[in-house]
Amino acid sequence: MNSMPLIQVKQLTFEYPGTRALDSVSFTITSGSITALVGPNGAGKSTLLRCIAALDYPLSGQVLLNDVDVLDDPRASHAKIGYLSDHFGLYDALSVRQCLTFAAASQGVAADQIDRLVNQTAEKLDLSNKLNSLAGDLSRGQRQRVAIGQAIIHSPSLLLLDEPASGLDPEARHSLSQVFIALKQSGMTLIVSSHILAELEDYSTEMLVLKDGKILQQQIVNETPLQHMSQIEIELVHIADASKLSELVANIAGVNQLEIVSNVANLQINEATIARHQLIKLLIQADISINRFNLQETNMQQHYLKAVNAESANS
Amino acid sequence: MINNPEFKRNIWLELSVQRLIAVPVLLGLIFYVAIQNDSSGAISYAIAKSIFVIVTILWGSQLAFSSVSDELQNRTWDNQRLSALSPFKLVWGKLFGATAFIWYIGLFCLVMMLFTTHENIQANRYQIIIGLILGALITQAFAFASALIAAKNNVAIPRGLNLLFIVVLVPIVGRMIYGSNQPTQAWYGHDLSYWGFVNVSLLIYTAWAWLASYRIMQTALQIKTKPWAMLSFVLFSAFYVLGFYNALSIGNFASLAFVFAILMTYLGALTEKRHLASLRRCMNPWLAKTPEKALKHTPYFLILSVFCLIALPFTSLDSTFSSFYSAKSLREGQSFVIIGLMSLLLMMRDIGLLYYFSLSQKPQRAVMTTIFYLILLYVLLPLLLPRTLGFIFFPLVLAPSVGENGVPILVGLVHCLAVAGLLYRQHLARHKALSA
Repeated sequence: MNSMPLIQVKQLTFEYPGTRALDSVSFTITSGSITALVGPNGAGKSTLLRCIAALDYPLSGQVLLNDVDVLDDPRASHAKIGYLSDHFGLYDALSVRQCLTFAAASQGVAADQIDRLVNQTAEKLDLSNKLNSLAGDLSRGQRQRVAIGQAIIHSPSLLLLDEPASGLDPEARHSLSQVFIALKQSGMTLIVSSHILAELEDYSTEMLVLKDGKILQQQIVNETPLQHMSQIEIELVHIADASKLSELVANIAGVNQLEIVSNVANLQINEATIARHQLIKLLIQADISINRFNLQETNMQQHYLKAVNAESANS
Repeated sequence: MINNPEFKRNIWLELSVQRLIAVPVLLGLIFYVAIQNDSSGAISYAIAKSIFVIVTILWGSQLAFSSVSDELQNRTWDNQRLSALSPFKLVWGKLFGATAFIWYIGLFCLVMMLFTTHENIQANRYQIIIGLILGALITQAFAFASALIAAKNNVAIPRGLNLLFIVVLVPIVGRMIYGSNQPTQAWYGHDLSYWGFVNVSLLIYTAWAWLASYRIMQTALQIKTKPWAMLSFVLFSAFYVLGFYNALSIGNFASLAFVFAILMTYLGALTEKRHLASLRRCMNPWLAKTPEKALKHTPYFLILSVFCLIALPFTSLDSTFSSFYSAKSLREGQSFVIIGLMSLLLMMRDIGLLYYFSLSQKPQRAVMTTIFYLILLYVLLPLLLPRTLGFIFFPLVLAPSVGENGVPILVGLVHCLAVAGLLYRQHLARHKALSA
């Protein structure tokens, strides 16, 4: 993965009359990641996405896309951005082919490339057999995919999606997750906002927690979707083994030491790299006596609640 | 093939095969029946003209308006703003794409009007036809520009709003096209052909409406612009109107430009974004001493106010309008410069009030609330109170005596300071609320 920062948001403040929707928000998004933008309703997620897309102008602050200030030159940055609003806009009286053709042409795609891209995008989104249907006649899930098709047809480097799965059935949500993973694999950077954490867990590599217009936490989960990450609690028989354990995990790929207090260690393992049973085997080989080996249920929901609780405790 | 995706999209929506076939069939039938019952040709001509007016002016302006308002309603406006389409392509793609069908109908009507022959039909038929086409273009352009203003400010547009434009504009255009039998129009001492003058005027003001649409579209797409278009319009309008009086002089030109600038300042204040962010965006480059950038962010009302201030001293130079105003003023002999200065102060007060309500916690009704207070200040209080007290609220015409020109200016200043105080108090309250 390319870890160059694609977006840098610096001290972004946005106000609606009487409300500060974003309060000195700063963060960086690396290229090739899928960032889950989470937070309760009214946290400022949509406003943040609109400011990044230069659709709304903030009170102060900066948004840099590839080091170019999007607020100074919104038109230049729009070519690199795909945006799907929570109320995805479609021309209901046009066919899916016309919708995609118009989107490609209006994004400046060369005329001789449009047909190829329309077919390619339709195939990617499983819309090939719907190309001649009117957008207004499609199901919500299909309409959602047409809207995503419109947003990605010009191959933007950044795709912003505001509540993309709201109102979709579980099957459509799963299919959408697969689309996002495929887009990431093709090199696109995605920021997906939602307050339904379960859906984000399938594909997110980073999590940005927003509450009351402030960033509570930015959790980078390496390059691996959160669903592959597990947290393990190990209770050692002898406290003396703690340093041995620490030394061992430092040399095992896919294992991060989070915390060792007394004879209890908390580790995070990437199960795509190392399976739990392999870790146990390595511990036994290193002659580390284990009293207890617990899988901690850590999912995005818990990361989120942890961040929110920590913020509540601080305030 | 025309390389404008927006135009093509509108054509896809507007020109279906059924429509393309139905129009000639239906119009053909109507004209056939008319011709059969009309040996003179006058009725056929009148029917074709009426259909043209109804379709291109009434329906056309509705379509031009909807080409923008529908984007907001269908939530496709953001996609358009994010597209790579230039403002020029968006403007003409929408304006002529959305109205393509009605121009298709109009074309049949024009052909009918051109080929209907009868001695009673006015000799200047070609000029009338050109006038009708330009009349349709100007109403469509104004309806389109008004929808763009609302879209630029993210305001939900009521569908019937463009009717307001039709109500205002159609009688003016109609009077120009139908209302006069005079053969010539005097302008700057020249007797010009009436129809030539009307058509050139319509063409020029249509071009201004197109330019306005283009500039508003630029703003909607967040392209920063300098304020030359608005200032040019003010100067042109002053020059154009002066032609009817054949009274070109620096003083007259400055006086009329001042009046137009005041009107446009109100229009600018009403139609521009009135957010704290836009004010700060304007203030920051001025503070950073980057006037080039600052000009692009400065609201039109401020630029026009400065223009008014610059124009004001020139209004006293050899100005028929100044003398006319002084003679007709409620206070005989009152200087136009004093009146102008008071107008400026009251205008700043009015705009201050508008901003006060716009920056409040419930800005949705800012315009209506401001209008209510302005009616109170300009009409009700001066009428209800005795003249001496009424003067406090409306120093423009109710100043106490000729020799005390400084007094009404002082009162105007007090008004401005009072509104500035309100704005400052509002700023402090906001600051306090946010830091709490």
